[in-house]
Amino acid sequence: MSTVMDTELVVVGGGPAGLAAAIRAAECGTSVVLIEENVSLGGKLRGQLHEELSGEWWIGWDLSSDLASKAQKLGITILTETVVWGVEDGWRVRVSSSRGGTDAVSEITARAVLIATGAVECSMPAPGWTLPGVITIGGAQVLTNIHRVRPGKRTVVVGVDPLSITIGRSMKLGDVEVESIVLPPASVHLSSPVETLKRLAGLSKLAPYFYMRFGGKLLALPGLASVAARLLPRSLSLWGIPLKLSTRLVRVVGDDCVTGVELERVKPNGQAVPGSRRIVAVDSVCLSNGLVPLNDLAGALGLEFVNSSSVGGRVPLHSTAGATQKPGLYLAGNALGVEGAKVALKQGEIAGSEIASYLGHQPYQERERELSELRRMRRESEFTFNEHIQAGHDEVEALFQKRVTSGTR
Amino acid sequence: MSYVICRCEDVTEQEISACVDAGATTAQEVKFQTRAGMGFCQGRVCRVSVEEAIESAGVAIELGASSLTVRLPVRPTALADLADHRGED
Amino acid sequence: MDKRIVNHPVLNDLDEVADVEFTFNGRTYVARGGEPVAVALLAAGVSELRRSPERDESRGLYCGIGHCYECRLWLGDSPESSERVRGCQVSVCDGDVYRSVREGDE
Repeated sequence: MSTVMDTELVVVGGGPAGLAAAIRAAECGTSVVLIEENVSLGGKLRGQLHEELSGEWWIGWDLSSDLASKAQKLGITILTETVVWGVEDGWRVRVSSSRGGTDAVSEITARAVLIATGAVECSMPAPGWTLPGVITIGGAQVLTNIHRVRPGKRTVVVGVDPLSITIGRSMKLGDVEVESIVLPPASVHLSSPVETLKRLAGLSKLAPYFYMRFGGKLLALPGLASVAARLLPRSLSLWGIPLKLSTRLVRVVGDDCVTGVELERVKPNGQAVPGSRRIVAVDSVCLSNGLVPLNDLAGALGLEFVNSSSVGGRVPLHSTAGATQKPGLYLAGNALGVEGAKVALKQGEIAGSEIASYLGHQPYQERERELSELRRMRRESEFTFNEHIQAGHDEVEALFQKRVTSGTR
Repeated sequence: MSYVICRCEDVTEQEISACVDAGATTAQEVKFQTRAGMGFCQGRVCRVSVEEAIESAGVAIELGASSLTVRLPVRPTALADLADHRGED
Repeated sequence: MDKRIVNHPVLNDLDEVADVEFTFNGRTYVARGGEPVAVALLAAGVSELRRSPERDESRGLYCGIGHCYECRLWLGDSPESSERVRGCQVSVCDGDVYRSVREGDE
């Protein structure tokens, strides 16, 4: 027997952006239903764990709990273990249970919908990558920091980026032996030592502190990237974890589960060093190949998309505050572009106020100030995945405004 | 050593290029014929790799949310839930 | 080897929660109450959750966050009354019965 609910705002996704938006909208007087497919709220925030510039630890688990309590206290209707499988114009949100079976709620009608579905990880196909024991770097974060189960006794992290480095460290804190962090297989674009250093050098300009911890001076001048590659030490130690910028994955070894990886050394331009292949025994492999915004719901609604490599992929056209071409439909968080949690939280707050204003509850007087704050937070963020992220957002905003003023679609 | 790029439907890069060699000219055709991107995850995991494989085989990718057209439901759903989904595919 | 991270240098110690029992392919396992079944199985040393349909390869948890469906399992007392669930999302209840999916002969 299915039930239909009605509300003012449905928020799809209980991660930092969705939670922040639901809270802000509720604080402005909006009735909100927040939907999350997992059993607990917080999304990827729950697993985040790293040291900040101040020396304090950012503990996503605690922040998630705080946000979840706040949401409950504000009377937001929270539906966990609930999957949104469709959103229809007008608005009608179609749901089912993560546990299967007869649903208590099958649909929710609303005046506004916020899609805050986050991002998905890019796969890294390689021989043996489907063996049990091979997981994504995000999966490693979930297992280690959320569920407190070690992905394995001994792991290799494949891919060099802020996530692989931070989560590699998380695993070490959780007493997993992190054998090394290595480069991806040759099939992955721009994965040579030179290209990797170039990318890291670009990111280090934007978020210097993060990179200063390991030879930041080496990476600070992009012009020296290729020189640095020639002088590259075989192994740089990050919190005791060997970062091997001249070693890459060839394949994962095992019959019915991971028993090892085959690695090879490479020259700065990515050419293999002949005779350097060797097998290293591990029972876990963590693949890190970046994130891409997840917008399947927005796609099914027929929104116009733009492909922006700076924000991480294809995103629906939207204003900086999260409005789309469809009145009442909003977006926030990593669905708009891949960035850190602080930015997602801010985007959620802004969207929450924007929606409350749209619904007639409270004019959004602080909009310009908060949008400036968003830009500042982005500039100061330690977690940046693309050095041109702000330019990417500006481009999308400009295109959106053009569409809106020309009245097309 | 052949390995899959679409985990849900066990599709390799070789199968994708074979499909293009056999005459497929759009990403949609490749998807329907190989099943790449049509499994449980609806391309969430493999979209980027499958599109790269399609492009390497010589077929252009059209811009959209995905060249793998998004239809409801975007998550596997029990047939009973879809029974109320009036008038859509 | 105990796979659970009970004490941690930064995070809080693991809460004490009641254990629950469940079966997977007929064998009984114990989970920490509320944890996802695929995680409980991993902690118990079981990483193969199914065999892939075309190539009959061993498969298990991959993304951990509900996107990939690699960890899909049947949940239910009998084949007629089972639901397909994601092992990384569904939290174990005492007495749950799980089975590997076998696409191809279903």
